Amino acid sequence: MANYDPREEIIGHMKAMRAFALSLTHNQALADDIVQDAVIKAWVNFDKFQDGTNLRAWLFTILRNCFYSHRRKLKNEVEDVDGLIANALATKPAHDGRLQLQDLFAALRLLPAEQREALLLVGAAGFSYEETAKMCKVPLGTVKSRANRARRHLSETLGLDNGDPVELTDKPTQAVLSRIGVHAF
Amino acid sequence: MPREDSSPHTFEEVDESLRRAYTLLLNDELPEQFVTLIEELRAITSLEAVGPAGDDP
Repeated sequence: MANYDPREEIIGHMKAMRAFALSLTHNQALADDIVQDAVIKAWVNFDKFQDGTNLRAWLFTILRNCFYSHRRKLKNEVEDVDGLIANALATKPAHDGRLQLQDLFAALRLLPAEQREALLLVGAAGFSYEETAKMCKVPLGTVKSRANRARRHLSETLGLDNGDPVELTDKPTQAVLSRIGVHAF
Repeated sequence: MPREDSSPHTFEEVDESLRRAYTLLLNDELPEQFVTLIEELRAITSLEAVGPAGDDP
């Protein structure tokens, strides 16, 4: 029987890493490149992971660092790609799910990067405020403030104050997302 | 409406919307690029375990 390699656990987190990367970049190809970089970094530096601590948080920290590194290098290209994705979404047949998804996607893009990542880590990925603060290397209160400002902005932009839920799981929306290769945000 | 009127309930709705979108992403299959990457990383790991060529007596 082959020896167990703890690095195999990284593989189990790759889908979550892709989801987070896509939500940060809004671009599937760029997200996949960032995840690939992060996975390789994590794999070759696994000796630096402290046994007994949160592997997912460690991986997301590496992923976040890779994202900001790519962002610095490819700032102009990322902005252009964002526009292309928005246009692709806009040309699809209209239906409620697509419009709501587009609204959420657009609203997230309007957020400052630090607010967006705080909200995604806490609100979507399920990390605690403490874990998120450690990942982002900022005080706990800063994370709470960023996440709540992002929530307030999204609720205003999406009209959630009116009590209208945002549905994103309908089949047409998923079909559109699958077709264009960008699945949400 | 004043900005401070955004309620915890509304914030929960925002989180719920994000979680639904996030779930869509999590259900996505890993593309071929990642299957290849995993195979390559495992291959490198196997070579590391064996040691560099020429180590054998």
